[in-house]
Amino acid sequence: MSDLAQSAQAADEAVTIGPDRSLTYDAWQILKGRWLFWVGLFLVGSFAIMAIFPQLFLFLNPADTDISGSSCNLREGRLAPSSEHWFGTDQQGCDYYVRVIYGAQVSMRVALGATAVTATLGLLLGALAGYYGSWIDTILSRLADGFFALPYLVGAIIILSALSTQGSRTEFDVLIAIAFLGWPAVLRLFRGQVLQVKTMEYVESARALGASDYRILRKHIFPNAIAPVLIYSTIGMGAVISVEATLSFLGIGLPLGTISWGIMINDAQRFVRAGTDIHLLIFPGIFLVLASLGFVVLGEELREAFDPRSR
Amino acid sequence: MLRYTIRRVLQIIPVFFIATLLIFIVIRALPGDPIRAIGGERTMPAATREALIQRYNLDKSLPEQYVLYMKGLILEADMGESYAQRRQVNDIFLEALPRTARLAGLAVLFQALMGIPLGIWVAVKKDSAIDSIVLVSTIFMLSLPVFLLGSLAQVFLGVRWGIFPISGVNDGLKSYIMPSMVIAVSLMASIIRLMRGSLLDTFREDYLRTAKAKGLGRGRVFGIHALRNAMIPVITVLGIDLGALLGGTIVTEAIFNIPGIGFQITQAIILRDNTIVIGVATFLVIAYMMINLVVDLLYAVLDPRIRYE
Repeated sequence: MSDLAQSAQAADEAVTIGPDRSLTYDAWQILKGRWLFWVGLFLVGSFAIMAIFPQLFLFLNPADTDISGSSCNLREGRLAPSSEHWFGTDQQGCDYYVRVIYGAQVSMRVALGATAVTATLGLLLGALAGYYGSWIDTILSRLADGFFALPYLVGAIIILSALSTQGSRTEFDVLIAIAFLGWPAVLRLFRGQVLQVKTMEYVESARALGASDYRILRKHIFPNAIAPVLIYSTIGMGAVISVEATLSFLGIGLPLGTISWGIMINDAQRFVRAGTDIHLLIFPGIFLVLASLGFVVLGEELREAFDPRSR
Repeated sequence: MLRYTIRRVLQIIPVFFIATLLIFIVIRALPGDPIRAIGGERTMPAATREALIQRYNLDKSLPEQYVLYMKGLILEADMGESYAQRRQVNDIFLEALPRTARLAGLAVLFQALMGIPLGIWVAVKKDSAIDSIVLVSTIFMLSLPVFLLGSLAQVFLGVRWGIFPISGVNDGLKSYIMPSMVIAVSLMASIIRLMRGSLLDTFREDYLRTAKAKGLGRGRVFGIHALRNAMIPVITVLGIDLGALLGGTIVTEAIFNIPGIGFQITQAIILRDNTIVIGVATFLVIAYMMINLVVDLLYAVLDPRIRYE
């Protein structure tokens, strides 16, 4: 073999050396060395388990873990934290630790539900706007602009007042209000992605082969454009947890009596404002912040790992 | 530039009408009878009721009401009369706006005074321990809801240690310090990150290397060439925050009992006082659009590529 052929072969090997590396593989290589990623994953995992199997967090608890309220003792109202009641007791004398653990359920449900509705609406409308363009795009994009011009909380209060009949709201109303205000952001994001993917050669060749719009959208555009939306939604879940608690705190969110961190902090106000019973504010506050933090950290880490520009 | 300005101004017109129409439709969908809300517990004679319905144009169809309202607003700057307070919305507004403006202005001032130096510091100390600590703290600040931070500040700084007034606006500017600090801390994280990123980007620019190669002193390179250019996006975001805060102080106003814009609109929604809700919401929409317009035009001046898009 001549020297020339040999060096050509060597150059070939140099190019193809190592296994094929996909974007996901690269991202995983980055993520597994980042401690913040593991913190986010741990927090999200913990709160998911807390919502599905609250008993797992309660079997060591010395107090009665019954959530129905039968174990509450009015004579033991607002006790400070102790070995008997880890987080103290609330106004009705219920063990606060048990209530705070159960508080994860409604937060996770609303976050998951609202984010799912937001993403579905945003994806469908974003695909329409990005793929078909022209007047559909103009109408949807201007509508989204109109939503953005409305301050978020003002919008949420108006919608929740409209949804509540006789002053009572349900968890579903809160979920709908949050989703109703959230979809324009997903529309904008996904529309931009679709516009980018639409010009790819594989889309053009699919069209040349006679694929229908539906098939092109489903088989070619969605799989290649959806990743940023999924990552955005992870961060969005953290934001929803925070927004839901804020609405409940203002007294326009979840119905009173719901076991929720926002409502607990609202209930705590009248005692805490007098400077007593700070534990009623601190414990649900810590859980709320950690739950929101988990999703935000996880989402931010994923975003950076999957963004080729940040390398 | 003139063409771009005209095009950009024309663009906000449809957005304005869509946003206000949206508000109008949703308000109309609110359950409850606004006229009954005026009377309170007492029963109202049918004639009075009829007169009130006519006075507030409630007998007309929704499109007619919208057109009448817009005519009053655009031609006479008249936001109508409040049902419940029986006063001109303009007057209520002029009373509430300065309070919210003071709160928002101080908040942005504190945000800048704390966020910009911190951002510069961590950019200079990139990849050091302090950089990581500050960056992790910013994520923490981003997930800390304002209502929680506000409650904690109120309990500790107000009730327990008595450093600041607990609530209300009776102590002059002093009563705005704690509420605006709370807002500033919750918004500061984004400014720290932006200042850091922007400054690091500027450090890589060619003109900075040239300035150094010319033999300019470190202070001059840093102050005149790096910092001044890196400040542009930071100032933009501070401006946007100021605009967003006019409608975004609802929670803070609720916690600290400050009767500003947020307080008025929350009360009005509960009392079904629709003219106030529509008036305030419309003002907020206009404020938001104006600030965005100014920011966009500013960018077009700074970056000519945008104009020819």
